[in-house]
This record gives sequence, structure tokens and C-alpha cells, in this order.
Amino acid sequence: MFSRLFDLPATKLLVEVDGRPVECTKGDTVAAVLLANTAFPYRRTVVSGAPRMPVCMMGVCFDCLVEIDGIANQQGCLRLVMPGMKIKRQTTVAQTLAPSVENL
Amino acid sequence: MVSVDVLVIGGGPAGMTAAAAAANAGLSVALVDERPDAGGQIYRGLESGPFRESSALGADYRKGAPIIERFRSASIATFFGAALWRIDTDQNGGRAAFSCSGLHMSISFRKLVAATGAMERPVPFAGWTLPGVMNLGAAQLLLKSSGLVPSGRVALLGNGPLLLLFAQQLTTAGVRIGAILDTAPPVNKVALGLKHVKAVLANRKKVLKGIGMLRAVRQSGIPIYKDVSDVMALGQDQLTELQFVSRDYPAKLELDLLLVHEGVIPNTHLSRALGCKHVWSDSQACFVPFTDSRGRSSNRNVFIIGDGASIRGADAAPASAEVAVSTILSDLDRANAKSRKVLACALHSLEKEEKFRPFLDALYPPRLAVTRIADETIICRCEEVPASALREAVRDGAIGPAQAKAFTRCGMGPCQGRMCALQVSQLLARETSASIGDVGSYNVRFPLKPITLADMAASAEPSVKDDSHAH
Repeated sequence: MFSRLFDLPATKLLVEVDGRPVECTKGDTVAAVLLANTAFPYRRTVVSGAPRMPVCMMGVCFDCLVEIDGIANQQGCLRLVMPGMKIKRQTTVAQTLAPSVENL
Repeated sequence: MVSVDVLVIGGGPAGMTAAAAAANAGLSVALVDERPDAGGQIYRGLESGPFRESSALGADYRKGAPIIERFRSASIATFFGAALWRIDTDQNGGRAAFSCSGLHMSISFRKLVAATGAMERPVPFAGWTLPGVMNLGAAQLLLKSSGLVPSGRVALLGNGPLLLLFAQQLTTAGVRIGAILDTAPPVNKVALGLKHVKAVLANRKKVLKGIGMLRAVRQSGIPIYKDVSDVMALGQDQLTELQFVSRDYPAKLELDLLLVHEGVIPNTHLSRALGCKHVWSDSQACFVPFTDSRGRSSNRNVFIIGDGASIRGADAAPASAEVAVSTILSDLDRANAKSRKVLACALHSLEKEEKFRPFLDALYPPRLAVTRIADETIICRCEEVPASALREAVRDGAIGPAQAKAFTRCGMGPCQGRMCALQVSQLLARETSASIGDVGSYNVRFPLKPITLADMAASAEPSVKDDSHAH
């Protein structure tokens, strides 16, 4: 869906996406790294589990939400990557985790 | 608590100029922005991105360099990457709470300058929530900040100057665009130009740039579908096909990425939360905060400038900032001959830019975003509320956005209504045959950003913290 126009510079940066090492560069946002590496789906909604990807890249749509270093629901389009950053996609559908009303 | 004369929200051309002008006039200034660096959206990446020393994105992108330089050399407390979540105002100014780099901050101010910029007009249609459908401006931001370009089968849908500019930038970068789907209703450009002849003549440079972009797109050989409507994105888990009507004929395209753009609207989330008065703009088909000719909102200590006040473009933004800061200086009894001269000059250039805008608005009106939304199309992306649920809410007695929200959860998700507000107002106006200005928009509540309870607790006043429980 997206590809890099320029080769990554020699000063690459390494982050973790769902436990796998991913190369990127200083100045990339978390959302850009996920899009450049076609992590699919970017996320799933908590309401129906529908797949989504970022829409606005400017902090408005909240469709870029990811877990960063253990804190969930961060806007990936506003966060710059840092060396060793641990990024987790939020692709678990809430309904499958939550006990159903009948079981309570 | 830190205290400043002027707190600026937003580090785009308007915010940077306002902060620099106020600081250079001797006022104490702080600037807060949620993005990691200066430039706003229009000059995103100009400070440290891949095109910071390149002319590949065009001459207009380079116009941001002196604005950033002036801003960076002024004495300003800057907070980038900040999550601003609350502002309270009173008759002497107010107080803002935000977290930045893990620190909880509170700043009190005498004057607030909101330079929150524009957002792309949300364009709902069947299948617009599928991965593979994205705002065109979002793709342009990926280019500016990371040098990412669309790949695979790509189409651009919508209309407006940004669509043409991005088509030209991608073509220059050697990216193949599969098709342009133009949603602008057919208009006679020459007749429209004659109708706005004064504005056109006063802004010859912009008109020539526009003609150049149109010509470049035409010569690029990209297939152009004109008069596009009835768009439907199809796909199981992601976009694979787009069906649409062009000049009354049904057509379809196999696609991986659809970039959508029907212009930009002011991002009014903050000004709404502040309780500023907003009015409907017919020509821009959106709500804009009420401001007087100096940028002052309905709150006398709150100024709203740049595209956050109304869409006037990047060239008008610095002028609107100079006007507001000159007015603040006279509010604070700091006006002098220089500030009065700056004011006169800025008012003049703002007037020139404002004259041009009605021509652009008439040339590139939104189409998909203002047509009746089909029942099954999702309007609230967060809570996945379809248009049918809102229509049912109206039948059940919801007459305003607040009731529609309570009835359906529309606007209650993480984006807090940023993406659906305009569509909800449009739908309610249509369904109840009321004027959209009377329907109004959501009330926006703090916190403006998802924050932790620790953030909230840490921002409390010390006097509030040591309460009687300590005994």
C-alpha cells in the first residue's frame, strides 16, 4: 500500500512490532512504520472487530490507535519512533475476551 | 504554576507566527502542539523530514522555512508532542493542562491564541471504513514526514487544490496514479473566473499556479473520470474494488488504495470545548468559530487564527497571527508605532487572501460529503453507527446533536465526534428540515485527549491536593 521513496539511511532505528524487529528511521511516526511494513490489519475496532487503518494522520480520526511500550490506545500518527520502542497492534476483538452477560 | 502573557495552541504557520510576534514584542509566550515538531500539517517535515533541503515538493513548501526560523530564534517556551486535555478560562485569562514527555504541566495565561488549523472534511460513503480508504492529505503527510509514497493500484477521489498538488507531487516522484475521480460538479471555469475577476486579478500568481497544476495533471496521462458520484468501496477485509458513476455512466476500478479529499474545514474541537460561539458558513459548508476582524472570539481573551478560524490558506495564516498579536498588544497596553504598522500591513494582506477564497470555494465545492448518506453507511467510525440509526433517533424525537448522541452513541468513541460532528449536523438538518445553523453541533467536553488518571491528578492545583484527608 505504501513504499519508501528513499532507502533507509545508514543510521537505521530498530523497533519491535508485535515482538518482531522492524527497521525504520528517525522522524518516522509509529503509524508510518506500520503502514510502510503493511502490518495487516493495522487494528480492529472494539465494537465489531472490523479491520481499520489510519485515515487522517493528523490526530483527528483515532483510527491509528496502538499499544506503545505497554500503554494502550496511543495515537500512532502523533508518536515518533524511539530505539527499542515496543509497538503492539490492537487486533484482539473485545467480545472474545469479555465474559458474556449470560456467564456473569 | 508557570504563567505567561500568551499561550499559543498549535505550531503551524499561524501559531508559529503568533508566538514569534508576541515574544519579539516582549511578551512571555508558550506554545503547545500535539505533533512532535514545528510546521503544522502544511509544513510537516520541513524541520527534519526527508524534503527539508529539497525543492521536490514545490516552492510553496519552502515558504515555511523562514517562518520556522523566526519561530525557533524567538524566546518561546515550546511544548511539542504534548497532549493538551483541558483549558479553563476566566475574565483575567485562564489555565491550560497538558502532559508532555511524561510530565504533567499546567500553564496560566492572560491571552489564549488558538491556531488549531484545519482537518480534511470527512467524506462518508459505502465502504469508507475499509482499510485501503484514506484521506488524501494523510498520504501527503506520509510523503512529507517519512518519504512514503502510495504503491499498488491507487486512485484519487474528490476535488480541490490539494488533490491537484498531490497528483503533481506524486507524478514528479515517479509514482503511478491509476485514476483521478473528480467529484466537482461541472462548472464553467472561465465564467466563474469572470464573476470573481477582481479576486483573480489580485491573486494572479495563485491562479497561474492552479492552471499549471491542472495542465500538469492533464499532461501526466492519468485517466480522469469527471462528474463522479454514487461511490461505493467494496472488499472483504480491505478495499479491492470501487464502484461509482461518472457522467451518468456506471464504472468500476480494481484498487488497493483510494485517497479521498473534498477540501478542508476548521478543526473546531478546542474552540467548541472553550464554549466559543460558532456560526455556519454557507460558502465553506462548515461551522466556523465566530471571530471579529482582529481574530477575537466570543471570549475576549481567546483569539482564533489561521485555518482554525476559517479556511483561508497558508499565506493568510501568518497575517491573521500578526493581526491578533497586534490586538493583544493593545489589549495589554503594549501597542506602539511598530505594532500599529504591522497591523495595517497584515490586515491588507489578509484582505487580499480572503478575497480569493470565495472563488476557490465555488470552483471546488464538496459533493460526496454533502449528499444524502445512505442508510447503511457508517457515520460514526468509532462506535460504528450507521445513518439509519441516526434517522431512527430523529423519528424517536432527537432534535439536536446532543440527543442524537445520547440515543445512538454516535460521537462517543475515542475521536469524541471529531470525525462525525459535521455529518450528524447535516443529517439532522435534512431530516428535520431545520437550518443547519440552528441545529448546531456537538458540545465538546474535556478531557480533549485520552489521558491517564495519574495525568489528571498530577495537574491539580497544590491547594486542591492537600485537603483535609491528610489529617
